[in-house]
Amino acid sequence: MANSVKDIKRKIKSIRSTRQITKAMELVATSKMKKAVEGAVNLRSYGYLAMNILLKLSKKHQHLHAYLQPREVKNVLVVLFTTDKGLCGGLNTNLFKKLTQTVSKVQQENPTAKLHFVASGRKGAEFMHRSGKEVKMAFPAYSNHPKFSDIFPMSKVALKGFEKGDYDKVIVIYPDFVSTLTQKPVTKTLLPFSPDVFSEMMQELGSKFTKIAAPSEKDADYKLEPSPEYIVTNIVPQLVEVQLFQAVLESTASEHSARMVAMQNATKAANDLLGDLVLTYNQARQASITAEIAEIAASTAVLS
Amino acid sequence: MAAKQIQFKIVTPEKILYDAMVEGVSFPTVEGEITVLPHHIPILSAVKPGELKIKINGKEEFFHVTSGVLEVDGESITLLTDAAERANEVNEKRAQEAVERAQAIMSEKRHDEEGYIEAVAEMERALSRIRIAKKHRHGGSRASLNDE
Repeated sequence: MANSVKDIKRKIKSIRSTRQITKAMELVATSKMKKAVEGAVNLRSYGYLAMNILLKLSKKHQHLHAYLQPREVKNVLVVLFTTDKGLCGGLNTNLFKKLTQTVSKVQQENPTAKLHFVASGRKGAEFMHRSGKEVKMAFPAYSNHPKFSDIFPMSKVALKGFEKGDYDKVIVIYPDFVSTLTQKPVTKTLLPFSPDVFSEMMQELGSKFTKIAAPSEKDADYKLEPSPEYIVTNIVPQLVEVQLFQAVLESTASEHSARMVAMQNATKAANDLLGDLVLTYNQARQASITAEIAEIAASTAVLS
Repeated sequence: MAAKQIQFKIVTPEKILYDAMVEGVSFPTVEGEITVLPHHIPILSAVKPGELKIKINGKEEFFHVTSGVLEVDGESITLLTDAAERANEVNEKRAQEAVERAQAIMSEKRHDEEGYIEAVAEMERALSRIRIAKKHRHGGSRASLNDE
């Protein structure tokens, strides 16, 4: 009896300290999440409006920039955004699923295409290694206050690679932050940008996109100053980089909110478990006391 | 509604800085200043660091903007810019520090093409901030784009 009381006590202690950790992680994630979500949401209007401009340029001036021209797909670059650390619920697992889906879709569309992979986040890189995919480059996850300049190394790989002809298509997969409770993995074609890509995006993102940047029905005939060439060469790369940055911010926001929810659940589970254990412990303790009293009473009865 | 108005938005990666009905906006573009009034034809242009002037309710408001994209679609004006602030909120001291920093980087990274270009851009931004801060320190809204 005494043994099991001791066991339960040890268990309670260990769960208490685990709860302390999950609680602390929850608080950390909460404060990080607030900032990350704010950043992602704020960039949205910029990012979506930028997409709108890209759409207009791609309709009229497709021939002016390589980024706007679809070409025969021989090499595809897939960029996957995941987290460095775990303990964030099903976030990464869902992204892996999306990756597998996307890969088979690409292979269906272009059976001869060769796939290249770039991972942001350790978990993504590990998954790619496990599933036998060749990882070209692995970047850390930009979990803490990503800056625009943080993505330059990655955007260089993607954009320059596309320009040089190393890749004919660049796809990014990232968790889109829908709400604290929901993060939806999305696939987005970064390059080349075309009206098809845009409508694909609209479907994936749904109403929150149209709310900010509703595409106008009529096609205004834009005058481009100083010259269409100048505008396209100077602005298109920047707008594309913003799309990539958007993906980074969305994944950061998703990571922290997913972790916060996961830790909240863990803390709650620890509380439930503790309640049960404390009850069992008290029962066991009570039982042992009762047994002891019974023994004493019995021995006095014998003596007298 | 007395005068004709058009919707104008300044959007930066951090937030929507400005969103209101205005009577006209003057932008510093790579080709020189352009002024957009209501019913302007659709236009896309590249904005360079400089002073932005908004005419609203007969008054003028000044902003400092860095490089970005200007889009006029006939019904509204949208400016996507990396950074923008009200002219009287420009921090001159910080801009001065930025100039010095950029100079240091420029002399250091003479052989690093990208770093150099970045430093030049940073310098350009800071200098234009200083210019605007100086202009609006005295006289405030009396200053206009024409007396440069």
